[in-house]
Amino acid sequence: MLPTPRRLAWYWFDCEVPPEWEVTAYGAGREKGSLHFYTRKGFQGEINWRQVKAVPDQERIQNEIHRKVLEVEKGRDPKEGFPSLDFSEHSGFLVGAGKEGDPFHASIFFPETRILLQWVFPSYHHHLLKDQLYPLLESHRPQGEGEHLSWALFGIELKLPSNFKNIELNPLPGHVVLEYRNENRVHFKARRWAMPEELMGPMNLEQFSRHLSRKLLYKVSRAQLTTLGSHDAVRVEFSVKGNVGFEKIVGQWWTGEMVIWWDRKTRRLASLECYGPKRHPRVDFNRVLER
Amino acid sequence: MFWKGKTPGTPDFGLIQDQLKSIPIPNKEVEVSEREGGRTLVIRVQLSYTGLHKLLSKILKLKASQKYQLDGVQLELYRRLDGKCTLEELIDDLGENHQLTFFEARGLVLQAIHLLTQRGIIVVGGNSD
Repeated sequence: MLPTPRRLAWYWFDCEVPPEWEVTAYGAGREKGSLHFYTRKGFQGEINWRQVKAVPDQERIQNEIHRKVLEVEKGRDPKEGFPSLDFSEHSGFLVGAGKEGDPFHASIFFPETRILLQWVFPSYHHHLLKDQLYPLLESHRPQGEGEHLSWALFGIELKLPSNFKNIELNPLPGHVVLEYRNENRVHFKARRWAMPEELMGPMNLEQFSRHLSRKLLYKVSRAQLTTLGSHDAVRVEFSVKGNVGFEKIVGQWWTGEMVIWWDRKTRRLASLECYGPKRHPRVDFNRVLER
Repeated sequence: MFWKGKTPGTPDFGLIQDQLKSIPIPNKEVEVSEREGGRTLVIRVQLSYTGLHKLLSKILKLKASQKYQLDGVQLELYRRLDGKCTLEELIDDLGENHQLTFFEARGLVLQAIHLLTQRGIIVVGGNSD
C-alpha cells in the first residue's frame, strides 16, 4: 500500500503526521475545524482549531475535554471525580496526560492569529509520547500571517496566495477536489485521481483533458502536450461562463487555464485549474507547486 | 469513505473491524458471459417476485431476468471472489494493485460491494472465525 502523504497543512498549521494516518472525518472551516485520523487499527488522533476572543486557559480546557471524553466514551462515572492532568511543555505545546490508556492532549495558542490548536490522542502510553507525539509537535509550523498559505490534505499539496479561501473540499474515494476563491472571484481548483489507467480507458492524456473539460462545461480553445517536471502533461486554455454574482446573471465568459499531468510513479493523475474575470491576474502554477 | 460535519464524532471502530472480516460470496444462480475479450462481464440475474408482485408479474409479463455489465473495480473484485476471501483481503489487493491507501481502497471496495449486493450478484456473509 502507498503510505499516505505525511504532510498536513491547512489555514493555521503545517505539520507532518505518521505516514499511515488517514483523514476520515473533517470539518475544515477557517475559524473552526477538525480533522480525525484513523488507520486500519482504529482512531489515532484528532486536531481541532478555533479562533478565540481572549487568551484561553489551556489547562482548564484540556481538563474539561478530558473529563467529557472519559464520561462519554469510556463511561467513567463523574462521581468518581477526575484528577487534573499532569502538564508538561514540548515545542511550545502544552501537553496534558493522565493515566496510562486514557486519552491525552496537546494544545498551543497563537496570539497573532488568536488560534487555539488542540490535539487529542486516544490512549496514553509513555513510548507513544516520545515516538509519535513529540515528532509530530516538533514538526508544527504556524502559518496564516504570510503572503502565502500552504495546503496539504488528501494527497494534494499546494502553496497559494493567502487571499485565496477554501470554498470546497470533496474527498471521494480515488478522486479529491480542493477549490479556492479570492476576493476578485478568481477560482483555483486542484484535483487528484487514483487509478489513471481505468479512468482514462483508451484515451490519451490530451483526449482525457478534452473529455474532462467537456464534463466541466469548459470551452477549450487550445490543448497542448507539454511536461511538468518529469511528468507528461497537457496545458489547456479554456473559457467558462461566470458563476458568481452579476457575471452569472449576464452570462459573462471567463478565461482560464488548466494543467493535467500523469505521475506514473505514484499512479495518480492531477490537475490544477484557474479561471476568473479577464482583468484579474491568475495564479502561477509553478509557484503553486513549489515546496 | 469520508464523512463530514462541523463536530465530527468517532465511529465505532469495532464495527469496522467486524466488517473487514466479512466474506462476499458470488451468487451461483447468475449466468456469466464475457465480452470484449474478458474486459467486461455480462451477468444475468434471475428476478424473483413475491406476493402480489408475483401475480402481477404473470399478468403483465414482467421480465424474468436482468442483465448487468461489470467492468473496472467491480469486475476486478468479482473475479477475486472465491467464497473465502475477506473484505480486508479484497481491500489490500486493490490497494496493492493500484497503489491506493487503505481508506481509498476501502471506499472503492465498499462502493462496489454495495452495488453488487443491491443487484443480487453477490451476498455478504459474516466470518465465524
